[in-house]
This record gives sequence, structure tokens and C-alpha cells, in this order.
Amino acid sequence: MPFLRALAVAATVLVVAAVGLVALGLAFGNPWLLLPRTPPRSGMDRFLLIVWPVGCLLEGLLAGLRLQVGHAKAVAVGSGVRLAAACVLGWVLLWGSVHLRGEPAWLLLAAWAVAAAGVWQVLPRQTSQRVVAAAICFALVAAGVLIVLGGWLKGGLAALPLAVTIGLVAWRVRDKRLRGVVIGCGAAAVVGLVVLGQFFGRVSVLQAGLIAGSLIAVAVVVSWPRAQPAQAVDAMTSEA
Amino acid sequence: MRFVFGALVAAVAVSAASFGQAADEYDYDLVHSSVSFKARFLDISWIHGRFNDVSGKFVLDREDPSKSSFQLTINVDSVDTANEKRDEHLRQPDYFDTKQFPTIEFVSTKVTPIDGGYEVTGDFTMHGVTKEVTFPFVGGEEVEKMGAKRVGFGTELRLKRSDFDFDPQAIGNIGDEAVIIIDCAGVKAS
Repeated sequence: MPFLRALAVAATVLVVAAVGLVALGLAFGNPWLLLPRTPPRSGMDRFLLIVWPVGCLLEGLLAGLRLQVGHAKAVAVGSGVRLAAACVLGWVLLWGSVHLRGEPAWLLLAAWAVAAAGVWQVLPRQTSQRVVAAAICFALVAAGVLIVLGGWLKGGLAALPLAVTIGLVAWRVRDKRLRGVVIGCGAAAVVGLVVLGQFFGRVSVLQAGLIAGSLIAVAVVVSWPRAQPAQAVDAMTSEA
Repeated sequence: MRFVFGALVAAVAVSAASFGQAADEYDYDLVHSSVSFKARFLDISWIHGRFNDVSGKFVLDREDPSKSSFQLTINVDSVDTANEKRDEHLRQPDYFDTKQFPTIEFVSTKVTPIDGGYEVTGDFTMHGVTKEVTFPFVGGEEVEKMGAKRVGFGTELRLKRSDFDFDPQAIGNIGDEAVIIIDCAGVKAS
């Protein structure tokens, strides 16, 4: 047991370090294209400097938690954490904007938080991780194109480094747990970018819903015939 | 004795009222005013535009001009360059980011009388950045026309968009410097 615990701690450190490296790469890659300002003042600044890094960090921590407490507990905790994070991070994205002044569209914000948490929760758990990762890349590019077509050129550009980084890392990484973390980071990126496009650009609710919905549809379709029971995943984890 | 005391109270009240009248308050007259701008295009010509939704207030103290004040609020969503697609692009985060920064505001902090008007210093907030600006505000003569007392002022402000944290990469074909032309009338508040 002490050996397994040490292994779990080592794996957690590895996962968090890997997520940190990915975040570092994007932190250097994105400014080249997007120049986020410090302190962050616009929605895009908050997305690049706060929302997405926090989303990635949470993914790393949840992956570590899964190694420590097992699949079932981790899913329950992960759902709650992701929902809470989606609520808080959505609020952070819209901070200081007209959407939080006067009579904020709380219903729309709440719907977004639930949808975001749903996408975020469902995607990393799929068995066909490479297909899901590819779908995330396509969704990011689609969101970017929609934002550009809406007239926000630099907002759309943000999708490119995100899609390329997530695609490359998910393709190269062999460890399934680490790939799950990368997919979680990708899901957070898609949701964040679509929320930005909808609230600050001219992406309609329908377009945003189609992107999020298509991602979930892809995830469900590719994993349906080969869905593995949670016990099997737990068994794999404990064998490791 | 009672009569004398009453007369004194009345005199004090009248003089206080006349002191109160020294500062006149005017509301921005949207129908007879304009806030427009122009910026260089490819350094060969000027692009012109205007803001259609502006509000504001002027307080003019004729006896002590230093107590005068000017306040202007521009709704950035009302930008109008006679090209709907360009206007929509200007509202996006690449330029004005109107969802994040919906207004441009000016609040004076110092007013000094000069020949033909006032020299006004104040805080100019655009795109979330506040800078102190000073400009001559020419005008101020009151006329009584169309059933109300009115004053008018005009000025031109030259600003660099890069000073207000506009994305330097988005400035591109449009020059960094923008000229803001304010020609406004005020109607005495009732």
C-alpha cells in the first residue's frame, strides 16, 4: 500500500507538472498572437491569464485526486468542482462588463455554467480519447472561425494556438490519464472561447450551443459501443 | 422689531438665492450637438465618424469660473461611420470593446477662464483607461432662444489610441492619432 500511495503521489506530480508545461507553452505562444494585458482588463485577458490556466490546474488536480480516491469518488467530486468552477470562471470572464451591470442575464449565465460543466465533465471520461481530442480541435477552430466572421479577428485567432497545442499534446501523449487531463484542458478552452465569443463577440446562442452540443454528441457516439464500466477503470488504476 | 427681523430674514434669503443662481446648470442638447471624430486612413485620407448617443451636464459659475464643471458621457455603441459593417467591427473587442467598456467619459477637474471660453482640464476615460487632458473649450455665451436659455461650446481633442491601450496590432491601417471634435449646446436645466 505505501508503494501504491507513493506511486499515486508521483503520478499526481507528473500530471500537474505536465499540465504546467502545457500552460507554460501556451502562455508563451498566446501572447505572441494576442498580447494579454496585465492586469487583465478585457474578457480575452481574463480568459488567457486566469480562466483557462485555472481550468487546466483543476484538471490536473482532479486527475491526481482520481488516483488517490478512486474513480467513483473522483467523478462525484469532479462534477461538483467543475460546476462550481464553471459558475465562478464564467463570472470572472464577464467581470466588469455590461453583462454584470444593471440586470444581469442570470438565467443565461446559469445555463452556460451548467452546460460548460457538462461538457467539461463528459469529455475527459471518454474511451476514444484521440477522437475526442480531434473533435475538440475542430470545435476550437470552428469557434475561432465563427468569432472571426462575427468581426472579432483577434478573438478568433486565440483558437489557433489552443487547437494546435491541444491536438499535438493529445496525439503525442501515451498515458491515458494524462491525455484525459489534456482533453479536460481542451474542453475548458472550447467552453471559455465560446462563452467569450457569445458575450463579447457576435456568436449567437444557437451557434455556441451547436459547438458544445456537437462535442458532446461526438463523445457519446464514439464511446457508446465501447463504454467501459467504472469498476474496470478502477481496476486498471489499482493494477497500475 | 418683528418687522425688521422679518425683513432681514427675507434679505438673507434673497441674497442666498442670487448666490445660488450664479451657477447655472445646463443639460447636453443632443439635437443640436455632435461628438465626432476622424482618424487617418493609410496616411492618405481621413475617416470620419460620430457618436449618436451622448449625454452630459455643464455647470457654469459666472462669478467664480473655477467652480464651473463639465461632464460628458458617450455611449460607444452609438458609433456611426456611415458603414454598418465597419461600425460593428469598431464595437468588437479588437477596437472599442463596447461590452467591456460601454462608455467614453469626461469629467472636468479644473476650469480656468480664457479669452473666448474656458481652459478645461479633466479625466478622459476611454477603453477603460483614464488620462488627464487639457483643452480650450471655446464659447459659453448664453442666449435665450426657442423658449430656453442656451450655451454652446466647441473644441478639438487630439488623442493617441495607443495611449488608451487599444491593441497596437489592430491600429494597422488606421492611424494611431484620432481627432475628437466636440461641438455641443446646453439647455438650461429647469
